[in-house]
Amino acid sequence: MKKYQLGEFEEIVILTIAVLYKEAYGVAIKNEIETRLSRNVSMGAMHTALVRLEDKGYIKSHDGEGTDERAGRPKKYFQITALGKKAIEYSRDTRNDLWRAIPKMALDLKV
Amino acid sequence: MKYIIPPRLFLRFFRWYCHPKLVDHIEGDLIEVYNQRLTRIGKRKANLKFAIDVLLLFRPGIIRPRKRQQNINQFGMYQSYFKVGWRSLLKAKGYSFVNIFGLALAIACGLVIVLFIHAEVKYDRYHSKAERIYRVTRDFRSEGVVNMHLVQVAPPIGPLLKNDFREIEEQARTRRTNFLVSIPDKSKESSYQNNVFYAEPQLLDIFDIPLKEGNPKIALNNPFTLMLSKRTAEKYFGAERASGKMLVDLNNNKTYEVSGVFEDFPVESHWHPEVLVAFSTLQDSTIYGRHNLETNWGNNAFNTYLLITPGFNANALETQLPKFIDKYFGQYEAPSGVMPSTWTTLHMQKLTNIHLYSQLDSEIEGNGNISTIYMIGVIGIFIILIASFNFINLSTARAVRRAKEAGLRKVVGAYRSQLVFQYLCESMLTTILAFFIALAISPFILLWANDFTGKQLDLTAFLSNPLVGVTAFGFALLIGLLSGIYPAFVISAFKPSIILKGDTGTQGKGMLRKILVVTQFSISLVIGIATLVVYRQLHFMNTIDLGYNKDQVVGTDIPNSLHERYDAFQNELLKNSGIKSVSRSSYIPGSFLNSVNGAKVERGDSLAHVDFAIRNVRIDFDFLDTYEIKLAAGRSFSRDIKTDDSLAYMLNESAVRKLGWSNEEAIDKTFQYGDVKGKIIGVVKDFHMESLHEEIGPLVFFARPYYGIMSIKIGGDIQEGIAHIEKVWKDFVPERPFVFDFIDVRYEWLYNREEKQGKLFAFFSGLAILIACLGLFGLTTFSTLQRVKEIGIRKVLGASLQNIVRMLVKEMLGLILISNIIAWPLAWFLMNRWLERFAYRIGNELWIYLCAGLAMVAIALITMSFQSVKAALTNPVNSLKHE
Repeated sequence: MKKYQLGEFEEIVILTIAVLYKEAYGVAIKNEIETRLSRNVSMGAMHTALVRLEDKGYIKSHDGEGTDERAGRPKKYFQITALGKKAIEYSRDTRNDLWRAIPKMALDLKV
Repeated sequence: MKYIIPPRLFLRFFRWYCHPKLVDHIEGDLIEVYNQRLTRIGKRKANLKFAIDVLLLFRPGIIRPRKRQQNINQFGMYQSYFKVGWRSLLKAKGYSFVNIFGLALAIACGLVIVLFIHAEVKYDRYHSKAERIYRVTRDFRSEGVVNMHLVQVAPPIGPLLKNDFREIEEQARTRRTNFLVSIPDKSKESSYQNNVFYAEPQLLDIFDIPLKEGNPKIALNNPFTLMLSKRTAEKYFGAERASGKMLVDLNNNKTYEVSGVFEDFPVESHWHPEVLVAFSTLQDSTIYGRHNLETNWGNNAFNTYLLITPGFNANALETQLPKFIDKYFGQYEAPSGVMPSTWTTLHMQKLTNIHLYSQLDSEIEGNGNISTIYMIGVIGIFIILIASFNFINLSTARAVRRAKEAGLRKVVGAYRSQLVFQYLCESMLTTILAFFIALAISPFILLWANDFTGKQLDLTAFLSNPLVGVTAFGFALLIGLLSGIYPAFVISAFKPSIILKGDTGTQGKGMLRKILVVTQFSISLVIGIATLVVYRQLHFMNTIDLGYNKDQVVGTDIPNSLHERYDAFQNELLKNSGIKSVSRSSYIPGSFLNSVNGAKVERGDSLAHVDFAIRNVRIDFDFLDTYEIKLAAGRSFSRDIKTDDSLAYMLNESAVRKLGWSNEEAIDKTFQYGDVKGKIIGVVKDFHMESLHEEIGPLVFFARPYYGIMSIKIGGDIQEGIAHIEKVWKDFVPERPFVFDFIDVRYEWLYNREEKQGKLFAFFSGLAILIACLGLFGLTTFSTLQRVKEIGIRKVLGASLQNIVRMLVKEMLGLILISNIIAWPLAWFLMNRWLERFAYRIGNELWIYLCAGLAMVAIALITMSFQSVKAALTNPVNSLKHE
């Protein structure tokens, strides 16, 4: 079984890309994460993550049209790749395994 | 939909550091977010957040990689640059020609100058011990001022120095003389041989003198042996082996045996002996005498060379020389109580400095001069500067034409540095072309230069010392680089958007161009003015009244055998009506007077010592007549008065003045010169016995032998006169050929250096002006081309030819006037310094400057007029056709 190097934030980004399906580009991803997770996402962190994910092959990109809002600059749309899908599945599966392995008593905690 | 661009500064910063692949879409994101924030939180906060975003984006994944280009093989680009550069040169043949030719001229000059300087600087350095060799010189002072500094010293000095100072490893003396050579078994005529030197055997240890024949250890040991130079041996003995052969010196009828042959001294030596005679010959008392060698402190005729032990400080030694001189010479001077070191000192001169720095009074041969080297070097640099400025000007002017190409290249993706590199390559291409053309031109310039300097320079010096050649080439490349940088930057700075729209843009800063033109013309003016001043001074020196008449006077050395029979000889000569006057003297006008003795003069009742030096000239009864020298008071020497040839003195006006008398007062005063007390019988009007470099000094004349030179004034036809003299000579002195000089030719030779300087300046100023005008021509051509349309419109609106030409020419004219303003003070200052060298000189006259300035203006006008007039005459239809 291959090890998939996937940081926490990167995982979130991939998931959001998958969520957005055909609408996944920089600003949209940022807004989605901020809305869903109530955390602030800096452009720097996000774009770095995008670059790294693309380098690893988990996502791929294609250019779209430029819009007036962006002063004519094109949007870059991202999609998850098969490799990326495997990566998040692996992540999900290992998490789930861990969850199932927790004995009842461990989580019996008073708030 | 409207969008607002976030703060420019940070945006630019972002663009600068961001990886090209990412820049577009991240920027788009930034702008989109910014605009969204604008509506939500207002401008200031949006700006702040934008700035933070940009700063936070400054991370490894996003920053562009250091190496911008990953190109491994640049060769294709270089090929393309070369092709494009070559084509662009061809397209503008006129400019290219001007550029390349101007540069080539300048580089050729530079090459020649480098060769010259190299040749001058390496004098005497070929000896293996050159750094340790010194020459002893001696000066004579009166009242603290040096009035004579001789390169030769008295004979006892050399060996005594070596004895006293252990730092002196070796010493060697030489003494110059000449022989009248006759070969016993050959029936050849006798011939003069000069550059004969008596030389001690140690000379061969100090200097590197390779021998072709003979053993260096013994060749100069025995008296009456000598060595010949290779060419002298060939002269007398042809291809035969010279060693063992005999030759006779008819001056004293002594026979010498040839003990060896030495290789000719190379050009780069301060002396060129042709014969080296064993020094021990001088011990013969009929030639000089051993006693004389050891005790004669007054006969300063011996070149003395010293070899110092390594690492020793010559200056330290020199400070001990006054004590040395007092110790040994003092004994002779004891009676007068005055120690010799107060009026004479010895100095040590480094061998390698002789050629360029030594200008003492009795040099073996005329030396070069370090200031000439500086001058030529500076002029060379100026010429190259002018040519480079041309290059810069023309290239920048043409830049506008390349604008489209530059713009297109940028659009297609060239970095600015690539463009700069491309244009630098082009300018270096031009320079390299110029370099090769310069190599082709150089031989012609060298021909002239060799003629001028009397040297034999040729380009093979570059081959023998490849370092020099490589440096020269590298230097040419450097010129190309430096000249090309500015235009390259100008061209690459064009904004593609503006260019491609069709606007050719401004001409860039006209300021630099103006400055360059002004500098060019200023330099040319300065050199031009210098030329005029030098020639004016030369003219002055040739036409000034010297106080005597040197026309058609012939001078010749008086051989020993003629002394007793002089009167008969003189009579014979005068029998021919063509000979006007014959006389003898110890010096002739145009010589350097180095004979001086102590003088005493009548003051009140006693004789007082004269505290300034009065040099002497021995003359006979006819000298004043021969040279038409005038008397100021009293009378000249006369045959009728018995004591005139022993007790009579004549002084010149300068001497009388310095003694504090008027001319009349001086007559009949008692005057003692050396040991002979006599009376002053006459005062001679001052005349320039020496060159005009010197003030006329106080002189005393007396009619006592020994006379060395005869002066013969020819009245009628020169050829006939000389033929007659020769005939009489043959009768009296058959064993010698008649050899003579023309006094006026000799005189001109005094100013040889100035004449050469004049020619040099003339050449360089011509060159500088040529190059500057080439540049001006190119610039005018260009600027008229730029304004073709404007001229067309003006013509249509009714401007006349005059108006247009005036308009085109006005700007440049202003620049030239400024050049004048700059050049005049500079030239005035320099010329003042130069003129100070002459005791008798022209003033720094204004009209020279005016002349030069006007000439420059005229030349510039002519240069500009070609293009201007042509432009002004074109049919406006042609220029406006394409509107």
